[in-house]
Amino acid sequence: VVENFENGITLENAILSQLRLNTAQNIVDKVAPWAGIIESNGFLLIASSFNVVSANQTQRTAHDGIVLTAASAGNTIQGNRIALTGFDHGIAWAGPWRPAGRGGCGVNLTGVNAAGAANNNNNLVLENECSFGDWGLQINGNSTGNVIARNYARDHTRAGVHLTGGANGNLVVENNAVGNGLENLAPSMTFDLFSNPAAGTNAWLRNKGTANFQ
Amino acid sequence: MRSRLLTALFLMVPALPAQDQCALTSAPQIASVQNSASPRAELSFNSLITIFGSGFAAPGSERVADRLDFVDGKYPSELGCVAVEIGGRRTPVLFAGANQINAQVPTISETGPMELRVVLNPGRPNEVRSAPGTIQLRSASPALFTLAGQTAAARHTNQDLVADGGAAQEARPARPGDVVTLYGTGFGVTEPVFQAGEIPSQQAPLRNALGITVGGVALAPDDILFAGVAPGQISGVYRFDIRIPFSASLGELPVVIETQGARTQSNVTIPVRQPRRLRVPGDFATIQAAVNAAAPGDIVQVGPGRYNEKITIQKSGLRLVAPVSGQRAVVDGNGLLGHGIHVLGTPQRPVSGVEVTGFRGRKL
Repeated sequence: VVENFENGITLENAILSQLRLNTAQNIVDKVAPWAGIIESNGFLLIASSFNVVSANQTQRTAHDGIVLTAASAGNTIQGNRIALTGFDHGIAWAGPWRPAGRGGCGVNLTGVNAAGAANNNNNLVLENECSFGDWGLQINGNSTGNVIARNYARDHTRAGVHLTGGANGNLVVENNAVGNGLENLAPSMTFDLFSNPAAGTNAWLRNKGTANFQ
Repeated sequence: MRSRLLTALFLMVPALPAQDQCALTSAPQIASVQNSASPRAELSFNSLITIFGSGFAAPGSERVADRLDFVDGKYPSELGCVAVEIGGRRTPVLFAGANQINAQVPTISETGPMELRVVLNPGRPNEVRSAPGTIQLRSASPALFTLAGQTAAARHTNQDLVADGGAAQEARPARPGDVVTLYGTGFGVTEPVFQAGEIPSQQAPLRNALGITVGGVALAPDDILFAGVAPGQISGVYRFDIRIPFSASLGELPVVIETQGARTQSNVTIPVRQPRRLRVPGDFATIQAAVNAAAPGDIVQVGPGRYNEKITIQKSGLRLVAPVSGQRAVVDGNGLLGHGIHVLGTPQRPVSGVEVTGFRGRKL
């Protein structure tokens, strides 16, 4: 167990590495202001490629459960269990844990690299279970070529699967996102599967849940 | 000598300016010609060769071919005013020094004796040709490149050298089950064929069957993942991606590759060792102290308990392992800022092959 830090386990400029069977919990921003996407996450991959993050779990993270950012590509994120994300990020945590609808995701592919251009591409996000957060699984940051498959997302205040921010050419297949959109918050409102107008063209196949594009 | 060739293969050597004027005045003399990877005289199709002698270039000068020397995307047939002819054909030159030339046998199917010459100032009025030497071409002349004589030149999948830790900064021995890449020359025809001097545009496996033994035990076909030439290096460099068997014994294991009735050197070995285990709190009071003391490939075994520290791992191949059942190991950030466990490389030198396993709590 890795707990009570500002990030749980971080891979930064790492390749061909593995994080398996770990738990990151009670991850909070301890010193305001919040530093953005690179803070308050259970598992954080920064500019890291061809790694495997599998069979881990996170709970009670002030921002996201698992984040891939700054051109992290070719990673496999599989079989992780993520719960209680997006609680109180942006402020020094004073407890207790409570849902806040502040943007936390179970698995989040987002952000750009130092050059401001590269993306988080060609990752496999498979068979993860996300629950009790703001978004379930999100692709952002002009990311492309990712496969989001057979994940289970439930009990999020917003959508279970969310593509936005120039996400283009990704495959979203056979995910179960029934039971999200609980608080009818914009922009996804009550939809389980949500393609934001800011996203490009992506393939959505055989997913379960209500969608804004059907 | 061969180390210069290895330098050219494994490292990028800075370019020297091309010489437009050729005025070499020495008298080139060939003393011997051998396989670049071994002292053997047998050579074959596309194999890399080393020519020893004198008067090949001005004393003290040497040139290593790099991409600025390439002609039409291929290694040049003339380097620093030095050329080599085999059977009357110009052949790619990779290195030229006063007493040594590294070159490549042309892409030819003939076998048997063949004439070799060194040519200075080639094609110019002041051209100088050596007396001919004779080489023996065979269908295959396999040899493995080595580090310091006997240890096979090999890499892990993350490009770390397969060697004991003192050999290089990023070096570690192989473990049973590891996939490693060996390098050699003289293994014969591939499919497709890439010409001498070319850098393959795709993987090209060997056309002929081969067998590989490690520690005297033949590898199963499934443990030979690739054998042939591949992008990134000249067509004379063959690579062999193999898995060290889980049942392999430990130590300096001989590795031999056989094809078309010919074998690589019998004295080439690969170090196979079990990783060292550093126990926390048994051997070290803190996890970070154990990480600091560990070498690439070692295992830091963390026992149950609560550790109030943050951990940074900047070594490749390190395994940080906690118990996956029973009592837990907890890394507690109470009173600390930042990352709990931070696997940290740089854009220029990423950390690779690190495993963090077993820091798991109760099920959600």
